[in-house]
Amino acid sequence: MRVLSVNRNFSRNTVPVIGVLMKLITTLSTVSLLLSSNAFAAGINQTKGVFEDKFRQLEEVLPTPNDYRNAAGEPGKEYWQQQVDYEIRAVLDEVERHISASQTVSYTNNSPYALKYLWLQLEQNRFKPDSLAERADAFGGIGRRGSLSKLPENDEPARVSMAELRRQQFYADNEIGYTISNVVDETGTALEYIITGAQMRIDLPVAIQSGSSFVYKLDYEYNILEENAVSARAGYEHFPDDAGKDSNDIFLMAQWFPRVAAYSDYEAWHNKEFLGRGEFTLEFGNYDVKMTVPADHIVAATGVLQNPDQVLTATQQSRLDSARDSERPVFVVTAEEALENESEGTTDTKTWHFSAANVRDFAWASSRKFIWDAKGIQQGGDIQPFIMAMSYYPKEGGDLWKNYSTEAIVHAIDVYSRFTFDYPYPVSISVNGPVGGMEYPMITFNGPRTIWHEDGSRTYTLGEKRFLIGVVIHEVGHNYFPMIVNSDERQWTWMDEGLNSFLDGIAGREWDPDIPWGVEPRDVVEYMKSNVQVPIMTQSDSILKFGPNAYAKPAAALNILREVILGRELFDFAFKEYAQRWMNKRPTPSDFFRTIEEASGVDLDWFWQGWFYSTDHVDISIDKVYQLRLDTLDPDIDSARRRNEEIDRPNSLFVERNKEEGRKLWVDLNRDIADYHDENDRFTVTNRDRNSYTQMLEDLGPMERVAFERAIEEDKNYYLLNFTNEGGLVMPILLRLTYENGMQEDRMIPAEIWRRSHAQVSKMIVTNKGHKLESVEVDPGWETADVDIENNHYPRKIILSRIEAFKAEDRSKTDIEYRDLMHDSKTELEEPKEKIQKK
Amino acid sequence: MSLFKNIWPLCGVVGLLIVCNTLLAHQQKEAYITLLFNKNTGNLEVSHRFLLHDAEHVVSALLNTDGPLATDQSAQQIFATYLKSGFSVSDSDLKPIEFKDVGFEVEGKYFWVYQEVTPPETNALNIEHVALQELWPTQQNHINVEKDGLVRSARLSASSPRAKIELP
Ligand SMILES: [Zn+2]
Repeated sequence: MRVLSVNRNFSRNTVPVIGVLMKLITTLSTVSLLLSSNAFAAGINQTKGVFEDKFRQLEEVLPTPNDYRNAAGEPGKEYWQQQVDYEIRAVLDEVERHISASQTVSYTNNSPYALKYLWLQLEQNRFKPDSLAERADAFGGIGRRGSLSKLPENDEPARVSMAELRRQQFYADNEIGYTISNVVDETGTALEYIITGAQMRIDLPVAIQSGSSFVYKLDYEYNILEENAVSARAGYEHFPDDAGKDSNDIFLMAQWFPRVAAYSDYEAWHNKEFLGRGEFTLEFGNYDVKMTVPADHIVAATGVLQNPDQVLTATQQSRLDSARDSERPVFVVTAEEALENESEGTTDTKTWHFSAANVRDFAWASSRKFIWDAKGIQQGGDIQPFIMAMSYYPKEGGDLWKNYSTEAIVHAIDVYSRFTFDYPYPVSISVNGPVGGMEYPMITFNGPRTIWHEDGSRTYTLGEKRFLIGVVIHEVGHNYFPMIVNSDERQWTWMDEGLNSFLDGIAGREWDPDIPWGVEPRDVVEYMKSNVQVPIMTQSDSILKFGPNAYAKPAAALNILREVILGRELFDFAFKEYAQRWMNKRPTPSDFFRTIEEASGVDLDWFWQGWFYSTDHVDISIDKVYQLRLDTLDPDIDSARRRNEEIDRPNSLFVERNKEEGRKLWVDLNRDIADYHDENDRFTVTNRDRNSYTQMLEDLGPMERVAFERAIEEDKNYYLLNFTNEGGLVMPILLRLTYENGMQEDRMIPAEIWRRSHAQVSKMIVTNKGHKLESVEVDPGWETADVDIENNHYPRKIILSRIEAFKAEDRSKTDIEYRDLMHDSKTELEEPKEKIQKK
Repeated sequence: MSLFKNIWPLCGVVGLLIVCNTLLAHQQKEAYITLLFNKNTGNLEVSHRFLLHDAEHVVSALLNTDGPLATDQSAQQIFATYLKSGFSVSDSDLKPIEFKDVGFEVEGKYFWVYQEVTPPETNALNIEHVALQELWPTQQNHINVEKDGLVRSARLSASSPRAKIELP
């Protein structure tokens, strides 16, 4: 019979309970627009109905696995990458702010193909007026970094900013870009080459066969850009007001030599010209670099100093030695010594010699203004047991840098290594100069500084302190992504910035959990709900909303993946697996997606699809809660319940008013002709009902009887919850159930509940007798970036807007209503004070 | 060039750029401003959300006050005033909408400034928000206009500091 078959499985939709709608309070009718915009349906079209497969497997979109990168997201059995070794001799002309250098480059072709030419990236040429970047710069467009222009509008003329003027004037006054000469092979024979914009192609007399090497040499020179005028991630900063001497500069040298473009299994030559935003993609190699600089300069660089005896004093060397196991950073050059340096100057030069093994780039910094501190890290292990953390900064960095720069390096390495692999380099450096924050192997440029006061003192605010610590952690973190896990920044900014923002949030909160570091899901709600977005999987130079798209959204997504979907244990294992698989190799987005899925053992295609390939957002609404009760089928019990429910319903107003008017009913006035139906209501139980019940019990099989009796005995509560996916992005449903007895319980419904119906689902939940549901809340901890909180409550709650809440809480400490106007109004008018220019 | 006849009237920008480093590989400069048509109160409510750090730079570089913004109320007041001076809204007839100050507060890494008004009958808002753009040319002021459950957005930058948003 019907009851039996269903009793075997209460969770089926065909539960034998007679649905009694105890609470059927619908406050909102929800209309969801079902947009059938499935980016994955290339070739597959759902042309009938509204079904959308949010769980369609990504295999159709990801590149076909091969022997170079396999289906697990690992380097395949035939994985290869090129190697490019550089020997560079450079001279820095401080007065002319000019670099002249020669390079000897050894290119090893590990690919299975012969190469007839080499492509080089000439990033300095990107700033030339005829570069692709300059020519493709839309007037009034989104702009590069650092300068701007505005189109005419209505009756307003077109405008350019002072910054743009400054940039253009700098271009007019200075010759920009590389001058390249003497391009020859190992024997000195001239090589054919062509320079096109910010790229160069060297044509080889004989193709470089697979497995063999080729050596070329060239000379180059260029005028160093003024970073504050041009915004080039490197360049010089001029300090016109240093005492004693005329002036000083800090030189930050990056993208400072012609670099061979990457050549990979999936894109061949990465000869996509630098447009200024999509950063760099380079090959690993060994570097041997000598730079000749003014004798009183201190040089910081990628790699290990090879000639300390020639460039450092005995005192500096012994200070460096004592820094190895010092508790706190030790000064190699003190503030007093740096001040003395910057007020003297010299025309002598010194040559510093550095070498670095297996890095994808090389950068350096040079100035006589540098204070230098160092502290050793005993990392242990086999990869790199000892690391020296060092900071170089002018007096403008001051105590802010003295206190926190080197310590932040140490902390970053500690945390990042735990999530990835041991830091593999012998040094890690933070340099203060004109660049706000930029990363290179072993060396980072970081901008925050102290504030100068008229009395000569320097202070820093809490915000600037947090910012310094945050930026140092972030830039040092870039050693892991993309310097070591060598993703292609030019194509996919999120692969380094997103992963790195995710990890710097972890490191920041491990520094001080009270400091609001890191990207919490709630931080991206405003972006996610807006209608101006592009998918994370958008090429770097084309991203419209760079900040939220390449940094915050992927970081928040990874946070959610770790804390909500996979849990820390599965996520951390998978993330570490990705890092270790691709350490010193070149991963692509598909390698990341595949590895995390494969190592966690969880199908995440829906997650990548929703968060990385679409512009959907999270907005899950709880629309209705029905309470259901399991009938006992015993007519004496069930009928009494029905009767009580009837009594609980409100009486008819008509009947009530008639009563009030004292109107007598016909049946009461004529009791003498009352019959059975007047004495017994429709809930009256007859023996026929009772017989049918006992027969039903008799017919139950032994297993069925046990289940049925147990269910009746337990008398659990059954609730049917209806949800709507308003935002489109499928996600697990995080539930908080609050019971009438005051207890609370959290439950998680996995995202897969949406697989057959992406827009609306129902879920039955069963609670123990005594746990009567009072209210339900979706995502109570704001863990999923759900953009509408109001529909997360059942019954609905009035959610105060930010401003209503602000007013309600009377946060008077910052309320302008509480200004002391009576006192302030007595203030005398004053002439504005002359503005002191900051140094 | 005719272009150069119309220099953007920003005071002291050149000097400021020396003080303030542009952010490169670190987080991008942006703020979020929500204009909410609040059904419960009938008001048009504006919440400006800026990063405390960015606000601090404005206070020190642009407004020449060095108070620690996280705690110094007068510095907060100065920043809030600065911020509001760069923000304006007009209705579809270009008639300016005058907002009433509600207050401001520091919450975690954010500095919030609140304003409200009884909204006029209009089918569009013309919004301009130039705060911080003279300090950081890459500053993006992200506007969300929320009405009847729909969100309409614009990203205001120095090169396009205003937008017209049609209301549902
Ligand atoms: Zn970064």
